[in-house]
Amino acid sequence: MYSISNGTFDDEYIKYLLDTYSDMLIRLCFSYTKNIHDAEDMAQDVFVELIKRKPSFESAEHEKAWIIRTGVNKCKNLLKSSHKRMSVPLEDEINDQNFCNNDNDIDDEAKTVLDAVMSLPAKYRVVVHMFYYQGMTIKEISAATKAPIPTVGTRLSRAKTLLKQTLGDDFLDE
Amino acid sequence: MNKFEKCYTAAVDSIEISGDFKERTAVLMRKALEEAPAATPGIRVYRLAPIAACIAVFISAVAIYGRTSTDMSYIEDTEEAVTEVTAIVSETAVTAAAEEVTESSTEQSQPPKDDSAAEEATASSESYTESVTTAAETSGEISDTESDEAIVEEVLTEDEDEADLTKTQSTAEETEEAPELEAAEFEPPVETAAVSVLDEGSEEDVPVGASIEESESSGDISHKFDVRVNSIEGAAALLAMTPDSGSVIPEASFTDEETGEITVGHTVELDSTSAAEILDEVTNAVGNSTAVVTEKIPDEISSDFTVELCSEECTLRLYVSHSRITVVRYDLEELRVRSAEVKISSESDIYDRLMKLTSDTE
Repeated sequence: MYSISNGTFDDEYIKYLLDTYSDMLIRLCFSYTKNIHDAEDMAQDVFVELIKRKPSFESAEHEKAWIIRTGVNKCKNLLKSSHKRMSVPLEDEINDQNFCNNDNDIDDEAKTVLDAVMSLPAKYRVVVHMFYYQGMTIKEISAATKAPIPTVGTRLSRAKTLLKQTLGDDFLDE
Repeated sequence: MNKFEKCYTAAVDSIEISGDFKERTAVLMRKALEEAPAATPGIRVYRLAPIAACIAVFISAVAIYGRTSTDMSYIEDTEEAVTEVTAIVSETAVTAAAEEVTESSTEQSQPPKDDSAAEEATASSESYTESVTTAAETSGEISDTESDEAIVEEVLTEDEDEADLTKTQSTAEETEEAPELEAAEFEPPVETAAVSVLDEGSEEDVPVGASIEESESSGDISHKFDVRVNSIEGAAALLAMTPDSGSVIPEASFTDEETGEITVGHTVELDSTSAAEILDEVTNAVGNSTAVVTEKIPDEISSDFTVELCSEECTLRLYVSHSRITVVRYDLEELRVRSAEVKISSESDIYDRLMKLTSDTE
């Protein structure tokens, strides 16, 4: 597998980036934007940005953190944009916050959990996604989002409290 | 892994991503990759260019200012300083010319042109030095002229008559210029002393004509103060300060056609002792005041009436109220204003005397 870039940006590196990070980045952006199309657009912007800026990474963790942080920032900018605030996705109107395209593949509980997470504020959604889906530690989340460790811990704790109120204690207990 | 984690992972994994996402993104990334090498350095240069230009302008401005200020400070003084400046300037010109020669020789690499350029540079530096030297000589002439004037002054001083004449002329010039300055802010200064009383609401430009009559028939020097007040109360107020020696003489009355107000003019005669007492009292009050003396006139002064005292040195304007006297001192010689607020103590009877006399007059 192609390693991180050492100043060499070519087709091989592009393939490596897409294979390694595209899925992770799109799903992360989805947790922020709650829309798969916006998530794909944001992920695409992140990869193009990386090629344009050509940053030099010290390690794979550094590379991953850069991609995650850039993705989060782009999603924040999207949500802050006036166009986004003034528009309502068509599928949301039709499906009433139904986030899964293939509802038949998952059970009702998974759908309920996803709906509960998507109802959280954006800053809590991202932390929950990174912690539970991507398996990142609080320290890694802090480094990736440039937020202090206590802040990340507080957000995660408050997100759990809100999820317990929605889903019940049995979902989040070990 | 708890139930939430399993359900959430399953739900997120079930989200379908477009099948051609990687292909579309790869195309865009390759396109960006082709544009990036040319674009990135250009952007950096574009961003740095204004900053570099600002730094260059700043350094140039500092250099120009430093040279100009140095030249000015030196030229103001002596021949020695001018000579020093000449040396600095000529040295700078020679250095600049030498730099030009070096640059031209480096760029063109043609020895014959180097010589000509060096000659031109030397010639220009010499001509520049000559011009500066000429300027220095001119300034030296100026300083010589000044020293000549000083010598003339010394010669004149030796002659006592001429020296006296010079002094008289200068004194005359000063006396001609000084009243113009004072008249801009104050009434014409009175030779000895004058008192004017202005009631509250009266205009401050009421003329305070102070005519002084010295009569030595009785052996005492009495000063007549021509005071204009615009009400009986105002005159009474003045009398209250000198109850034994003053007198109020109704002089004229007229009615303002626009406002309908009746204005009465009075002449009050005070002897010099009373005037001196008033001045001393006020001066002591100001001197003993613990209030802060400010160098400006307060914006708003509430007072029941105003008293103005003039002398050769200063004009004192008193704003009198129940509890305090605000004193504004216009220093005629130093042309400055000081003000102080003097509290009237409960033991003082200044205001009470005024009020008593005012009621008696009514």
